[in-house]
Amino acid sequence: MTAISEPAPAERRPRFGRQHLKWAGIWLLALLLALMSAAPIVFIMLTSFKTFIQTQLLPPPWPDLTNLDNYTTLFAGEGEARGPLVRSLIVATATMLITLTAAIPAAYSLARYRIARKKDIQFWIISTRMMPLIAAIVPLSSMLLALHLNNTVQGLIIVYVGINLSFAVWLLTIFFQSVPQQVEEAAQLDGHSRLGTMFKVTIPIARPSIIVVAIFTWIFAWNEFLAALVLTTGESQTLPVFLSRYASQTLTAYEQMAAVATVQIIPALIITFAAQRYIVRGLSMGALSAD
Amino acid sequence: MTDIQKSTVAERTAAPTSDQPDAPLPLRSRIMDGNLGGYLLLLPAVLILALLTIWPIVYSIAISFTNYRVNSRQPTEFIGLDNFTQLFSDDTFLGALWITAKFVLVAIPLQLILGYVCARILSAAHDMPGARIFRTFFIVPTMMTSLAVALFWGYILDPFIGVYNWILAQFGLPQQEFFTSTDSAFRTVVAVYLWQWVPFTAMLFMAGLLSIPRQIYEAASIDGARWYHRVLQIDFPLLKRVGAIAGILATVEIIRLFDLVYGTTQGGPGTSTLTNAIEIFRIGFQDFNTAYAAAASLLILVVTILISQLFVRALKETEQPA
Repeated sequence: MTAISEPAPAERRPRFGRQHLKWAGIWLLALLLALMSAAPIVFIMLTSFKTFIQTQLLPPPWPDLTNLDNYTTLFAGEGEARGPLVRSLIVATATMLITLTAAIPAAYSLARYRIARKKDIQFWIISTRMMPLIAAIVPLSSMLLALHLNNTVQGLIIVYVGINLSFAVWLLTIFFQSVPQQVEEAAQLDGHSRLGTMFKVTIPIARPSIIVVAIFTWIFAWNEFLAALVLTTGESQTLPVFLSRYASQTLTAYEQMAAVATVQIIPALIITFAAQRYIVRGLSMGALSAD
Repeated sequence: MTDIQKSTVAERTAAPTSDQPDAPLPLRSRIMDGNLGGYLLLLPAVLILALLTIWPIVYSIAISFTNYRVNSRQPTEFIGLDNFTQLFSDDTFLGALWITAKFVLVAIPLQLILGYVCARILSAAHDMPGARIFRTFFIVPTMMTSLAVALFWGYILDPFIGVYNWILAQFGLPQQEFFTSTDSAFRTVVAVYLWQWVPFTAMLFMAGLLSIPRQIYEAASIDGARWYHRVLQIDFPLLKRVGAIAGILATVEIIRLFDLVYGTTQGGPGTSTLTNAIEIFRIGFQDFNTAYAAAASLLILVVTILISQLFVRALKETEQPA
């Protein structure tokens, strides 16, 4: 815990007990909120170390944390969940890279070039974001079938790029617009072309924003379930689709479900802890700068 | 290779290109320095978006007037508006729409109120020791895979072997049926939804609260304002815009709510949690009634567009004087 913030400055601290009590109350409430979020997650992680018998007992027994059987059965060697895991990693990473490759130039163009009907194009890009996937999934599955991309990872990646692109272009346009134009003009005076300026000056300055977009695109593709369920099966299924088998078992193997679920949520944990700053920024930028 | 291709390749392969702005070829410099480059930069994104948004809508409209079934060898016939008239007398589909509407009406007020309360607590604790860690834990559910959330809550809330009922029993509280009875399944799904999404709303409100200048509160407390004055006369008017955005985002989120229901109740027991997304999935991919599902999708799309219009209007109305 390296990043604990400083307590409030001493002079603002009242001397009296009542004020202290209020502070303690607020602190406890904040702790309670954190626990409400964390407790089910910790519980499910503990469950992933249990045996099937242990998942059926109440009160829940403390598991043997050296028991990695559920993980090795599912993810090691011939484990059934290994393929879906690798596929999910590929899908998420490819979605992120392709989205950025298409979105950065487009956003730069919208932020800096004179484009005919620019306002209309921007509005159209934003409006595609409101389209619920459930309203598009029927035609999309027919389209991929026609392109012989049904049940392939490639088909899924195309759909994911399409879903993320509008968000990415929109957010990056705002960020690029906030880069002072003088910086770019200076670079052009130094002999860079307009495009050279984009790569050498603007993109490096906008790196934090690009990280925000990269994180959100990756985690979206990692988490997505509906399109994956419809568009992939057997040989091409992603980890959430594999996980969904535990939704319809008659005698659910909760210990295995917990192991897959734990692997499934680990990226969210890592990203949230490593990049909280970027996430809060992305969530609030994405929602609040909507005009 | 023609000049056009050369330049486009140079433009795509990025950085180290021409350091001489007065390149000899006019086309090349139009791309590198003129406006033509701008259009080329925009093109890939526009093409991908057009393929994945305009095409599905056109396709949906086209097949919604037929009896097309993806797995059937029967010839597809034009049947006019039959799919749509059938939708409006389809009790299951209308019931699913009603359940989604009920979900919006029940969940959104709770989500906004709880989100505001959590944001108040966390921003009051903003500078206290450990607050950063608390905030991080608090926001984690929003980032997690909804399907995983659904499945582990399904285990925790199992009426027989779930830990939640055991905890209730320790306090002498009555046992609950959670997802397994028609009475309680709906509110249990709403509760799990709130567990995952209240932190998101709270984050938005927190960003809003932190942008309110401290002096306003100080001035108010000098004037002897009580806490409810602060809530009603400072926070409420200044957060109206954030609240409107949060509410609309949550509405869209509920219209597409699928993973959470699929992972817990799959619409049951009976049809007590059958949301419209689950119903369209069932029509299209379990009954393979493709054209009918496309017609239902179009209806949902129209509803979403109407709500987005509300969104734009709400934003305009709550526009803050800068």
